[in-house]
Amino acid sequence: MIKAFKIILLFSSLTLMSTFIYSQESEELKASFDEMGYNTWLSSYNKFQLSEKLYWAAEMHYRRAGEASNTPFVDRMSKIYNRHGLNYVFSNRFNVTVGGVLRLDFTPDPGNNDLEPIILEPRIWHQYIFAIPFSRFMVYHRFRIEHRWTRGFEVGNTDWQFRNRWRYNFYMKIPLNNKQLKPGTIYLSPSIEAIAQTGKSVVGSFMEDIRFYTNVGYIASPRVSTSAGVMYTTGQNLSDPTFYRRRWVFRVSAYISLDFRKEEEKIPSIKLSD
Amino acid sequence: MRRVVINFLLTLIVVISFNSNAIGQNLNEYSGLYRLGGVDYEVKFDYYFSEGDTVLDGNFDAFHQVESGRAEYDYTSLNGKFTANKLDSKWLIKTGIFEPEGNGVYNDYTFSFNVNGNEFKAEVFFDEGKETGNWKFYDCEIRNSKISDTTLKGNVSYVNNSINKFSFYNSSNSLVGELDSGSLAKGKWQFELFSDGEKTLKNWVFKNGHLAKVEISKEGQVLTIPLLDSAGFNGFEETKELDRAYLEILKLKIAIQKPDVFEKYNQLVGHNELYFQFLDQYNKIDDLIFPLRDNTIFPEIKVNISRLPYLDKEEVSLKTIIKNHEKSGEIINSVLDDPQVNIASISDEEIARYRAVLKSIRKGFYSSQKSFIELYQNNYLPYFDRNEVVDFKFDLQKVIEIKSDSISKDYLLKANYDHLEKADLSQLKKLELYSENILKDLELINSNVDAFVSKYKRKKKLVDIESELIEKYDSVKYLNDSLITAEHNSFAEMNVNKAIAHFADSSLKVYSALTDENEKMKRAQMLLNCYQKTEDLIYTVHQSTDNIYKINDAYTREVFNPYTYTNMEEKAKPSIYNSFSNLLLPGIFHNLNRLNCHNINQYRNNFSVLFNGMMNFLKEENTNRVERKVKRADNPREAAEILNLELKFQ
Repeated sequence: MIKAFKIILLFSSLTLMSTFIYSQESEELKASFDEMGYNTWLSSYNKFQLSEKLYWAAEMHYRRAGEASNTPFVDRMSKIYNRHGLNYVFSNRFNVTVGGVLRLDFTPDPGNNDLEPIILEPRIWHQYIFAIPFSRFMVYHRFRIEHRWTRGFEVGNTDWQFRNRWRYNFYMKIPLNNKQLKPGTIYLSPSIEAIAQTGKSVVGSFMEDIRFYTNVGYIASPRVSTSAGVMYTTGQNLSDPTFYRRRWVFRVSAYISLDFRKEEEKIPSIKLSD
Repeated sequence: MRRVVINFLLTLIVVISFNSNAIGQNLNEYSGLYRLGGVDYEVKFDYYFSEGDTVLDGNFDAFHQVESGRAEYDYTSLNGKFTANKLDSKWLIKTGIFEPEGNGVYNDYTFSFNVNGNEFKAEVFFDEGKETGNWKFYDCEIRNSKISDTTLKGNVSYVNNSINKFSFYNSSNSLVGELDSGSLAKGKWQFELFSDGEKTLKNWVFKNGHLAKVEISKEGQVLTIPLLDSAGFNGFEETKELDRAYLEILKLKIAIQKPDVFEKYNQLVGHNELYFQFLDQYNKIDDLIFPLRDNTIFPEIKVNISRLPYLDKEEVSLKTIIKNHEKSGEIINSVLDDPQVNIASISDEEIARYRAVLKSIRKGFYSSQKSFIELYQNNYLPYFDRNEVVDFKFDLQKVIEIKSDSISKDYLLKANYDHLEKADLSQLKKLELYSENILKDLELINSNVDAFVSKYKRKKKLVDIESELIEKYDSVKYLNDSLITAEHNSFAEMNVNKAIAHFADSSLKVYSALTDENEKMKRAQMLLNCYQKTEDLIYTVHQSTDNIYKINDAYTREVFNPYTYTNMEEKAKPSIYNSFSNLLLPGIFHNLNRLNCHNINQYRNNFSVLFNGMMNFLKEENTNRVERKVKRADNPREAAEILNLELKFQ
């Protein structure tokens, strides 16, 4: 009986204490937001068919940044991405890509001699896409994992930090002027992506980014498409989890797919015998 | 004692001889094959002999089955009773068709199958050979050896050996009616009709055996059509069978007397078939039991109708009208079918006008006259006021209206048509006179046309070849209209029909303007050959769409889009394919605007050269150079040169 009483007492004390701690923390940790950023991302996505199932994926991204206080969208260079990978298409429903990224980060404060104008950020990435066809649209689940090495802009900073990024992107492609996605189709693509991060330097800022993105695209041919859209993104600052970065991003993308195979491999032989 | 013995013996002899006579009347049973109405039946029946004749008396069962098709069987069964060779009591009649389903079930050394089929079943009653009682008949669908649907049902009640009441139902409609003791239609016959979810009621209301009115009720609206059978009509009453002829007479009566409601009535005329379906049931029964009965059970359902016999003067008029009609037909056909007149009409406006007048008369007056004469010949006319019928069928005019784009002026008839204005003449008489005058006008036209055509010295050989030429010309026009469609025009980016028709017309026009007979002979044969080539061209163009689709299909490949992760179609060797669909194909079609008898074969060959060439390019591995070059071509001739296709343009 006494033992039971002690347990109840201990439980009550713990509950009271945790309530106190919680109320103390909620007073101290107040969310704050960075100045709204207005960025422009221009992207070129390329895929080169090497065999029936294998593609070489090659992407180039050109990104500029700005704020309301300077020239929104185009004020300064922000990043250049060079992403490559080998994409293996298991089926129309599932494919995997593995490759590397070399990212060039430009200084956020041009003219500040204490900061290096450009730093490099190498990454290894692999992604898994599940494509689910419906009668009038497509739904995609993209899981991408990135292993990145970063360092600060400060001159002389050689302290490389390793982090992992865990990305999940849900997006759809809904044809607007046709029943199917085919050449000549304008489509709407709503998307939401959650990006989490882990690593030694990540203490409380696990949620690096959440991206809400909607774009309108046009399929000119099976090999050429374009899209344009606006994205809102927000996420925790690495050094201060209560501090949130916010951005509106105007994005324009081109999607190119070329077939590097020999001509006779492209034409289905059965057609010739008709 | 001796006397007693004699008496006993005498009695014994009498008893034995009486008994043997009684044994002679005893029923025998026959079981085996029996031929009825040319069909072998397995039968079992009772009979006795009377004065050397076989008299059926007692039960009678007959069954017949034969394989009528692959695994399909016809069968008939008759079960009933005879009394002294007369059908008596209840008879059950079944006939149908079935086919076995599945592999069957083996049991007791026998295979049994479920069957699917159709069966007609009738339950009929006789009283010593005469129809009596309530008759029933059904049409059933059979699935898995069970009745799945009754598609037709009929009930007929007999009183005093005549039909009294009947009702008849098929899948969606019904008919209920009544007859009097003399088989005259009586009371209200009700048709209940369902179509597209809507119910329509149609009643035939009989009074004193006459159809007095028709009532139509649909969506709450009731339309009554009174039939003034004898109004203004000094006829006598005739009893007539209610058959298709009567319904034709009825239809014409409504058209004449109630033109405002005729359309609505006519929409429901098809439903009268229900009555004939009802009568058909009797045909089915009659076919089967007629051999057992030697007289028909087909009911003679009758109606009363007023009939006005022809007056002598009417007979004269009618005979004159028929005679004039025959002569008119001969003239019209001889002129319109004359190939030289047909050819002459292409170049000569006057002949063309005469032809148009004849065509208009044939389509108008001559055609009405023909249907009027049919009324007389089918014996419908005595049931009508003849003047009413003439008024209804004819619009007698002095001017023949010509409906033609090229001939605008109407034709004023030349004979004397003053009688049309005379009020004292009956309409039938006016028709008689009009037919005489029309004949005169036709004779005049015939002589004018003859005079024109006889300007040319006609040789039989030329007449024959021109006849053939016109036939071929008509064939070209017909094929052009029927085989070349909007789809061809769409691929061609032009009106192919118009181009070919223009070529056929203009060629014939040039020919018809020739005056020299020798030249005509020569050119007629050439034109005939040319039209044959035109027919071949039409078949080739007709066939071209299949080849176009084949090429389109062959050049289409399915490509995986690695961004949408879906398959999409794209063209192989796109610049070659584009030159085909944008330049070469329209190019060879546009040639048809410049058709003549010399280039027609070349233009036809273009189609096969192009289609074969396009298929060959697909087989060639390296066509990069020509693909680059043909991309810059902007006309079909240049594209054909680059692709090394031997196509002819101009």
